[in-house]
Amino acid sequence: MLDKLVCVMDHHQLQGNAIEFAEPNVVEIQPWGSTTTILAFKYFQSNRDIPRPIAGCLLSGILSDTVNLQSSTTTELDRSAVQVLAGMAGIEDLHAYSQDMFRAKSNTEGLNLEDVRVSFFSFFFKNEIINTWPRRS
Amino acid sequence: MFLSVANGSISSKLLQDPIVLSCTHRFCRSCLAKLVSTSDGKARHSCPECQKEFDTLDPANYHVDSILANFLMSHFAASIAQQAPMASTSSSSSNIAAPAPTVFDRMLINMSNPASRRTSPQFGPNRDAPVIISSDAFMLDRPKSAAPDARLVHSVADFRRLNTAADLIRSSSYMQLQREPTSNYFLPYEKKQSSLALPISLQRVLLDSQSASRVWRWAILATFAVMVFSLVWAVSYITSTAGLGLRRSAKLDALGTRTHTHTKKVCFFKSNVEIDFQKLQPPLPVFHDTVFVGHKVNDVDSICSAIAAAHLFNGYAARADAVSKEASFVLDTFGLSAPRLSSDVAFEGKNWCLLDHNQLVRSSLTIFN
Repeated sequence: MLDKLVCVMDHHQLQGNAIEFAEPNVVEIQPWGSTTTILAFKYFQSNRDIPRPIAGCLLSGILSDTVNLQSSTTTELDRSAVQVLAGMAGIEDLHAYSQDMFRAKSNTEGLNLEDVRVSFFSFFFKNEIINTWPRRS
Repeated sequence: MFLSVANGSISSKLLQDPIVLSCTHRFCRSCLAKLVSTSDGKARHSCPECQKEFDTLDPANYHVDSILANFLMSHFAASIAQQAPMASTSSSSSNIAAPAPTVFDRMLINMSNPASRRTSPQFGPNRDAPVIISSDAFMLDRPKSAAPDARLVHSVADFRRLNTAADLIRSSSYMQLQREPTSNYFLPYEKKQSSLALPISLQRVLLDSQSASRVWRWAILATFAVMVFSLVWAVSYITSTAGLGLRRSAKLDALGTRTHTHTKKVCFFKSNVEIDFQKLQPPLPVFHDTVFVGHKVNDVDSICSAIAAAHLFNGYAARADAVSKEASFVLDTFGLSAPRLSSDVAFEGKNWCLLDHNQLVRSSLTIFN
C-alpha cells in the first residue's frame, strides 16, 4: 500500500529505515526547528491568509519543538517565523505562553508511569540534542 | 649715444664699460673715474651732461649698463680692441692729474668686459680687492711700521677718506653688497627665471623635491585607481549584458528566504527578453483526498502541523494516538477541535502524508506495517 503515500514533510534526518516510495512524490525535508516552520513558510510563499487558530497552531509547534527557541536545532528562520506568527496569533508574551505550554506538558496528573516513560523517551526517538532548558520564571 | 665725455669734453671714443648714472646718462667708466672730485673728504661725481651731483658711495646712483656693454662688445669688438691700448696709454700719461682710484672704481667690476680688466689694473679688476678693503676697514689701528700690502694700499687710502659715520655705514652696506653677488645692482639681467610659466605656489608644490614626490605619487595612484575601477565596471557590465551573471545580487528578505534579484538578459547584447527569476518559484503542491498525519507519541508539532497542512492543502487532519497534554493545551487555547484518529473509517482509501517523521517505525498507519 505504499502507493497511497504521497508526501513526507519532516525536519528530521533521513536514516537507514527511512520511508520508501513506489513513485516520485513530494518530500519536503528542511534542517529547521520544526515541521510547522516548513508549513509556515509554505503559507508565506503562497500569500494565503492565515487565520488566528492556524497561526497559533504553527507558533505552538515551533515553540514546542525548539523549546522556546532555545534548542540547538533552532534556526534564524524559526525566529523570524515566530515573530510573524505571534503577531497573527495575537500572543504578546511568547515566554509566558511557552512556559504555560511546557507546564501543561510536565503536568503528570492522570498519567501512568508508562505514559511518562514513553513521552520522556520520545526525545531520544527524535534524536534531538537539547542543550538548554527554558529558564523558570 | 656711444660717445663719451672725458675731462669735460666729449671724446669720440666708444663707450667702454658704460655706466648708467641716476640721471640716466651713460658714460665710460674710465672717463667717470677721472671726473671724481674729492672735496671735503668725500668722493663726488657730477654728471658731465646735466651737472647733477651724486654720491659715488651710494650704489643706487649708478650701475653698469650690461645690455649696452654686451651690445658694444658684440658689434664693436674690433674698435674696442683698438681703443684699449690707447686708453691705457692715455691713463698712464695723465696719471699725475688723475685722482687716486676710488671705492667707486673698485665697486664697478665689470664682469662682462675682460678687456678692461686687463688694460686697467688700477681700477680693481681683481675681485679680491673689495673684500680686502672691507676687512681693512677694521684694521685702521694697525701699526704703521708694518709694511702694507701692495693691494691694501688702495684700500687704506680709500678708507682714510671715510670720515663720517654715514660713510662708515655706507661702506658696511657696500660690504654686504659685495658679499651678495646676486644683488640687483650688479646682476640686473641675470636673474634666474624658471622655465615653467606657472604660479609660484604651483611651482613650489611641483618643483620642490619632497612635496613634488608626494603630489606625483598621489596623482599616479588616483589615475591607476580610476583606470582599475573603470575596467572592472566595464567587465562586469559587459558580462552582465552577455548573460554571464556577475552582477546578480542575492539577499535575505524579512522572512529569511534567499532571493536572487537579478534579471538576466537572455539575448547577447540585446535587452529584449528579461526573465524575472523571482517569479519562477515552484507553486504549492496539490494533493487530492489526502490525510495529513503525525507520528506516534504525538507532540504539539505533529498535531498542529497536521491541522495546518490540512488547512493549507485542503485535506484532512489526523492524529496517530491520544492527544498529548501539551497539544490539548494548545488546542484549547486557540479553540480547535482535535483531529480524528488515523484509524478512522473515514480515512480508508485515501492518500496519506507523513508529517514530522520519515520512518515507518514511528508511523501509526497499519497499512504500511
